[in-house]
Amino acid sequence: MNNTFVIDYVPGKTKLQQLQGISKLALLGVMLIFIMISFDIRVLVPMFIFNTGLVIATKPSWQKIKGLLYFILITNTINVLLMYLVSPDIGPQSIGSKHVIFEIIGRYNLSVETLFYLGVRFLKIMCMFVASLWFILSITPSQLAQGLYKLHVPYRICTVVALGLRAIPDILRDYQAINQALQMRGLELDKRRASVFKRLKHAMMIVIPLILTTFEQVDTIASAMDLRLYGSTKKRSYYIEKPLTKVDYLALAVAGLLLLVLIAYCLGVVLHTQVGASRIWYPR
Amino acid sequence: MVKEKNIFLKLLFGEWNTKTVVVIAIGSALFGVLLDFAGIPVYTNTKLSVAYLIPIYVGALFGPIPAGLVGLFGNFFADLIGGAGFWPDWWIGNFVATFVIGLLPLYGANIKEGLFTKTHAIIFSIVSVLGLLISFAFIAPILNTLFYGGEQAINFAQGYIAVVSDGIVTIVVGVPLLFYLAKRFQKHSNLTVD
Repeated sequence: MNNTFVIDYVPGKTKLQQLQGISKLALLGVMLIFIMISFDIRVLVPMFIFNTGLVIATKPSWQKIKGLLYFILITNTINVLLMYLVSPDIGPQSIGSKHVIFEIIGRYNLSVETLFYLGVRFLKIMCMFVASLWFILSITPSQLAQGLYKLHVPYRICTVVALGLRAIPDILRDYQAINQALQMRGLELDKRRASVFKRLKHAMMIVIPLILTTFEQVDTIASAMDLRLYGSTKKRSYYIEKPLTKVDYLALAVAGLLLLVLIAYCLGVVLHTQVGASRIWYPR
Repeated sequence: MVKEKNIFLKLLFGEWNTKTVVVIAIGSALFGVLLDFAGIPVYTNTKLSVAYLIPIYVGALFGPIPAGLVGLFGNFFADLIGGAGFWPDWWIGNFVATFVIGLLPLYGANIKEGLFTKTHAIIFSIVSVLGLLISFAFIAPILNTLFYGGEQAINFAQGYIAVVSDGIVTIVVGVPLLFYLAKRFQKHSNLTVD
């Protein structure tokens, strides 16, 4: 269970993991907005290739990402199939033309447009997944907090991010300890042997002690921080703050370039589609 | 009038000191862990999430804005440790939902002093379900359609399932939890100052 975390707490050795938080945040931010705003295969394919490259650049262990990859592939496939079942004409509706390949039954027919639409949607979710994955694989909580602070987020919020992420392993350990202790006393959480409400009640017997013990630590942590004069000044510095390296400047330059492309794309494509109309691009 | 406004703002934001920062951090971590690891599967893709007890606790003791931030950062943490992609539509949906769940001090429930009556419980249930409806059956599906081009009918169906399952947890478990907490804090408040 200790290996269930995807996020690392110690910075890794690769170039991407050694980057400063602000560079990674800027790259991720621009690319996520770009992926969200576009429904366009001309944007999504390069994005997918670039982000997959970044994932490979973090040299992930296959063990770590295997489960995630299968999970997202399966849920995404199910989602696309459901989309087809609910509205088989989603492609023609948003593109405006219809070329049926073959009829299946009733209103279900397979058209080129629907295939294209569902394919782009699949690619879009995969793009978003890969973009999130390289970020999660390469960032540590401290880098994230420091990066956010560099982006002028109030430092109390940065503390929330760093402190919260650092508390997670402890909380998970407590959760498992309480869980095992109560199961040893005969608490049934198995789906086959107890009804939903009984299991809910049993889950409560784990969660309530967890909530109470965890929040009991709040006073200690807050006092320790107050004693070190947390929040007494308007600014804050971070231990891990380093001068930007060449690779950082490269990453920031790429982010800036992408931002320009994004603005150009918005002006050129997004603003020309009607409000409410689908943003999908289709080769004609 | 100025004073009234200040009290309102204080109820809304809570006292923004070190303790609030720590509570939001720890609460978000708990929310994230429970969201990822402690769901009770009902059917294949639906589960009763006990995570929504955290914003109830934080909201009751610290106010709605801290509770809302717990939902926002908690879901962000869940995505970070889980790794199945970032879903900002759900972060925003969870922010609104947990904000509304945490509105407790605004309608007079004062858990710290042990004040939580049946009327408060009824208001809490209605308000929470309304909040869940607004966020998961309206905001999150629309944002999902906007951001990720999903099929509206599916998104809304997913939203309704989330409203029902989270509503069940919030009311069936949340109300007893609030009564329990009120009783727990009441014990401390019997003391008088000499």
